[in-house]
Amino acid sequence: MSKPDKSAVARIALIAATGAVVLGGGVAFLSASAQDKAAETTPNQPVAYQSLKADTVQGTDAATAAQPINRAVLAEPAKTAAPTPAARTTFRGDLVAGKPVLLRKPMAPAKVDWQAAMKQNERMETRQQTTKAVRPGLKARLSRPDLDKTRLPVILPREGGVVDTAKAKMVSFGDAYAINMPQPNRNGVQVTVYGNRTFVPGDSGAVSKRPFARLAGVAEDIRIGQMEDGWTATFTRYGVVYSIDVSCDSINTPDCKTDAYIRDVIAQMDDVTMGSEAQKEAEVQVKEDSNWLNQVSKTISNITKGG
Amino acid sequence: MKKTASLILLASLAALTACEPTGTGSTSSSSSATSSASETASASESSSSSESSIAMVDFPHNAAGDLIPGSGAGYTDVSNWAPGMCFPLAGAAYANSQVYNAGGSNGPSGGQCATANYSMPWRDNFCETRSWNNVVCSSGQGHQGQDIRPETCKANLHWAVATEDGVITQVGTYTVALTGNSSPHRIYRYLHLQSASLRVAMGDHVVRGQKIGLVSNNMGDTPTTIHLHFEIRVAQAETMSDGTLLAANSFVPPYTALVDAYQRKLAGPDCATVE
Repeated sequence: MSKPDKSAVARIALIAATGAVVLGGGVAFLSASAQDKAAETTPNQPVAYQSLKADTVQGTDAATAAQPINRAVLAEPAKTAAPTPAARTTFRGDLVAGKPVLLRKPMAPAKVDWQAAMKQNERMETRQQTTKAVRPGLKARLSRPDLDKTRLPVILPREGGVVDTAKAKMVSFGDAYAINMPQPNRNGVQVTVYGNRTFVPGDSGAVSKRPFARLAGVAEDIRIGQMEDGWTATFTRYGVVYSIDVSCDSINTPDCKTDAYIRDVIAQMDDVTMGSEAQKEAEVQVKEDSNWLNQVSKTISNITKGG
Repeated sequence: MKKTASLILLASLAALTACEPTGTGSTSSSSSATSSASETASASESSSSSESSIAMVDFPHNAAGDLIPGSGAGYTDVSNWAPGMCFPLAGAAYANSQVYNAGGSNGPSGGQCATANYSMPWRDNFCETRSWNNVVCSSGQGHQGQDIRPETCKANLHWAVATEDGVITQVGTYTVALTGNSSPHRIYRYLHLQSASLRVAMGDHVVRGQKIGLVSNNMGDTPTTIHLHFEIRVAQAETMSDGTLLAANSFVPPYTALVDAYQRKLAGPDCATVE
């Protein structure tokens, strides 16, 4: 076992200390009578509340944000909450009835299924070689610096399909990216694709209970929903989350009145590419997987030989 | 320290009462909670710019998930989904329903500029009755964001500002999406901004508190009241029984994060407005 990393130990100590302070700070935030008074609030009461003087507490270490430990330290168990909303209990943004609220923080970046992404990339390239391209494909037109720093597979609409990629613009955040594609022939419609490998832990049912659709030719369960200005769809592919927004300047635009267009967009979002950072990570992963497989096969071989 | 806190409180109350659209200077409602001194949980997150460990000042607001009776089933998870974010409006603000208050299609009589609409306390309207899927809502459907009226009942006057350091990832005629630089790369969406006032374009890098656009009643060819519809979307992962992760991008309730941000805003220069 390797030596414990000092900075990691320090971080854990800091988290523990912060958690203790936070939990301590939550005690007796409001007296029972204060909560009762809050419950009696009526719209016509004069201003009668008093301000809270809040002392400063040092924040958690920035580098610890990706640790799921936050959940354990700060979690207010949802199951113990009242069955009705937190109604009638006075709260602040950081405390509910004296207890710290759960600060939803991200987990470590998800593991990507690079093998699957590489296979799909090869498949699509083979297919595109057999068709005549009108202009350089979107893969070639994406901002190279943005693509290269993206550490997840970048999914793209197939060329010549229902998504016009002429004005596509990509921005990358490393572990996430967005590609915005205005649709000039669709009257104020935009398609925006988001990819993200950093998740926040959700409660049981947060995703699985959401209704989903199965689309022809699409392997994943797709969760499609209407929003104020269009439609949005989300799914897991290659181990990461993708979302597609179809937003409209007018919600009366045909493409925003029903989910027909977004379904077509999803069905044609079957191309994929990877920048240099992603390729590096993929190669390491493939090597590791292959080493592991070799190791397993050697072990099996030794066992069968009686070694 | 106590004196400073008192001054901040007085200034905050003055600001809150001064922004009555009718100019009466009186707040017609408030919660009557009496708070005691307490330490705050840090709302810091991953980037240094999002670090926030500053004092907070309370203000009148109803609890998260406590919707206007009859306006929807509400929700139970009152987590803070965007700890440390800046409040999305530069000035004072009133979070409440556009539909179930005066001026709304299901509200009492009176226009959208009714005093009650521009008064405390705040009220949550995430999960308010809508036909849109929203698994967070007890009914499985509902409003996907929080409606916030600006300081006064005047369109094209009050700035919406960036909640996090990030990049603009979509701009429509009245919509702006901002994706945070920091993990988990939340998507914040601002609706009903005045087209002509938009100061950002797709791909622009913005910092916390930077002006984005003026709050309006713009919804394309559909009428609405003067307000900001504010959404937060987060990639959520659920651990399944076999240990695998099932993930999806989800609308999450912004109210707790908004209350937290407004309390910090009232306390001091946590998120200075940036031109």
